[in-house]
Amino acid sequence: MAEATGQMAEATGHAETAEPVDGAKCPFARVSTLEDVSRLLRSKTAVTHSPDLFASRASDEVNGEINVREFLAASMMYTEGDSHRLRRKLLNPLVRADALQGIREDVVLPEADRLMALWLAEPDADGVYRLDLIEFLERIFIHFTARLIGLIGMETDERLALMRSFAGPLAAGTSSGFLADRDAVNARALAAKQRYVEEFFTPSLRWHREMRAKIDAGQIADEEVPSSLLKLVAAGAAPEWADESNAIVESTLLFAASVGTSTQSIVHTIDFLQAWFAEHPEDRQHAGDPTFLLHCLQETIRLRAPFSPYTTRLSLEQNRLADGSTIYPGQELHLEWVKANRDAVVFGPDAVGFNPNRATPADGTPRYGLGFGLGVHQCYGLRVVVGNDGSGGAHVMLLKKLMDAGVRPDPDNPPVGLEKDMDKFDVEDIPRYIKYPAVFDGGAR
Amino acid sequence: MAKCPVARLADFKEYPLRRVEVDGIPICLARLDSGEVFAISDVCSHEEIELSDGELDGEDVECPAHGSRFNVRTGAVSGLPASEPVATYPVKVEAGEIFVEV
Repeated sequence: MAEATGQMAEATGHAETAEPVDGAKCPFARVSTLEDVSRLLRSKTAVTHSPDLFASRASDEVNGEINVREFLAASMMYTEGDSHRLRRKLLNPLVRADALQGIREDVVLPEADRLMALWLAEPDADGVYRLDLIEFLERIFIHFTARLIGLIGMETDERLALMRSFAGPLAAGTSSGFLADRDAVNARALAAKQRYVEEFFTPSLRWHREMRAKIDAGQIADEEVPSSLLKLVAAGAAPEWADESNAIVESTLLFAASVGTSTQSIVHTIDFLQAWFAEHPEDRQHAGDPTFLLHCLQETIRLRAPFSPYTTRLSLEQNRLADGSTIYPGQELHLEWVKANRDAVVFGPDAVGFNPNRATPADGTPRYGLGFGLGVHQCYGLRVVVGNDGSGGAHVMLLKKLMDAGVRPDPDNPPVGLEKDMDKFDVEDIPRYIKYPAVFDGGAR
Repeated sequence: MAKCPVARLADFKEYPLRRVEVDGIPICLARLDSGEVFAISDVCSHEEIELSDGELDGEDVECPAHGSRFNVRTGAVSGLPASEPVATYPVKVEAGEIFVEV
């Protein structure tokens, strides 16, 4: 591809000529077509995950090493083979349809209703109903993630607020390679992790170990303890989790991935929709239609998830890309979702833009493209978002609640995002919002 | 179609799924709680993972990698992310021995 060739030429100082470029000497190659990214990720031999690459360790050893050790390497998401397979298999039942429905109906939606009733009960002095969407959504998804991890002691608003204070720093700690001022990002992430462990992880694991002892002694039934990561850890289900520090990383990555990306996907969808409705007022009538909202969410995921411009892999084999360029064993690959998901052949001539009325791709590519990744490491949360049957999960229901309440960006208070390393965002800026003030036309309903 | 002996009911005492091969075709045998045995392709239509390494949940086999689900009676997808069904094969049980027709 032109980008890969250009990048290689630039990195090696070669001018672009008819002579083949020695790609093995290049620091990385860009893979940015749907065809190439799909083929490489689905191959069992072409590429492997590497936390060192994702953490940009080569360009910043100190911060990269911290990210790898404290936030990435011990998670199943960055391991391969049997270690990954066993843990993924153990964790899959936690996101089965019945489990998700239980969390959605019993926890997520009631909490959304409670917070909206509480926070939108009275307008501000200017008569406008307001709330910060980031805080609202993080609070809700923390409930979900706490169930998934098996955290206890989440009953009070104070505890939820404390847990929520860790969400941003932990998410930033897992992806600081894409952010500016990594020293400060990592300092905040390490502090948040330490408090998370003291306040939530350790007491929760202790409780699960006590429950396990009771189960083993026949004092309680196994079914009395809801399934979760920490229940599995206490049962010794995977050898990797016998080392508590590994189990902590497993939990913080689940936490960061589920709270952070879920929150961002809904906020970005609302952001896109404002512009869409301005240009397509006829679609306002669909604002409460779950199918329309699912299509909106999938468009957001296609264009921006997982809210970084590319992911990394280590090339294991020599492979030829669609444009004729070559990648080599040992080479760092940047798999550019953001570009690949704008493939006009698959998604149509307006693929670069948001269009919830886009036809489903004829070749079987899902509407969200590569937004959940592909291959063995495809996103664990896919079923959480699109539902077991593809009709949408908690995210669509939350979107509907917000749209029904007349949500729109606060015109007087612009959103605030994390400062990123913009060298890595060359298609478009993908904001990572930390505040997104919104106004509601009707207040609590 | 050839009728091939592939396993015995006694083979399912500990685990309800079992991988067998017939003429090089990987097949996942599933024995339900009812005692019925079904045969589907052992290759998940989503990412080419061995379904027999997964879980049997009711009448569904759940892929160990991404949780795609397939009904063992019909091969139909009963849970994402798979979108294509898997092949099914006729099964006969005679005197405790399981035969699959391929």
